[in-house]
Amino acid sequence: MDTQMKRGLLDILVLAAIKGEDSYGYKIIKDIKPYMTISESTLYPILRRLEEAGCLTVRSAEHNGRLRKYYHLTDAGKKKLQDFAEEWKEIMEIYEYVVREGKDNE
Amino acid sequence: MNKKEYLDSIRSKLAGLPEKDINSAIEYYEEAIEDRIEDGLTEEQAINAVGTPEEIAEKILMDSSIPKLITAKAKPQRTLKGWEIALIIIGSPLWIIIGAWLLMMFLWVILVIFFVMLTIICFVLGIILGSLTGIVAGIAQLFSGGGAQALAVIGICIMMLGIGVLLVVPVKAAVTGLWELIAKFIRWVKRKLIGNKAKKTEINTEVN
Repeated sequence: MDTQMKRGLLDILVLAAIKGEDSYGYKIIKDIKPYMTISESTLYPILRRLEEAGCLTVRSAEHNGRLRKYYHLTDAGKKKLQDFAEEWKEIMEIYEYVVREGKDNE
Repeated sequence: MNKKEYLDSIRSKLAGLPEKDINSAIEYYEEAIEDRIEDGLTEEQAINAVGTPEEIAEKILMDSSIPKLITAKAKPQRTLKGWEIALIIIGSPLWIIIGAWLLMMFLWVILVIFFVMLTIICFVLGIILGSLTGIVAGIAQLFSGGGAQALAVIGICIMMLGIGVLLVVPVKAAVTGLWELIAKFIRWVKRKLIGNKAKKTEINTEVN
């Protein structure tokens, strides 16, 4: 896949991973693994960027006697996911058309 | 390498960045290791799974803003001796000039690319808006008895409009290309600033 595209999709995947309930770094990596394999060193800058953009907030909570950072999806983050879904509806229509045309020519 | 050495190694590679940024990174990677140990890995396996300090530091540095990187590079990594401080103060006008000059060069390159972009956009927009105005004027002229001359104006303007519209697609591509050029240039400057601070790591295997 094109790197530029992958970069954009990764942001969306991370936001989707915290959509249901607040999550933490290691769990996010495990949750999105079926779709894209990423390392902690890739995830960390993404989380920071998304926080700066206001798409998520961070809170520390106690877990097994230590602190763990949980990421929470904000309204701006939800909006980003919605925009993505709408944009891809259009792209999927184009995809259907492209695939269909290919079959007709065979 | 145990956890402490590992985290210290990351810290030293980030030296010069704001303390807040460094601490936030250290907390994050400490948590990453702890979570893996909790998942059944040994400390060493957890460290290997999280990644090398070089790779981690490089991604953080590449994601920091250019002013932060310049400050990090300029900040001394140890306390200075008296004569060193004296030397820096004596030499400071020169360093300030060189620093300002580099920053100006950087801004200058970005501005040039930006203005090329703007010029191209204005050129096409000018053709389109100009021809549209021409068509309206031509029609007005026709109604006030302009005759053949008015028709010629309308004809030429429609042709110009066609050229303008045709140019929209290549111009869009050119603007996107120039935009990416700016992004590439910023990445290149950052790479230069980071230099040997963090060893270059392979980025082809994964998204950067």
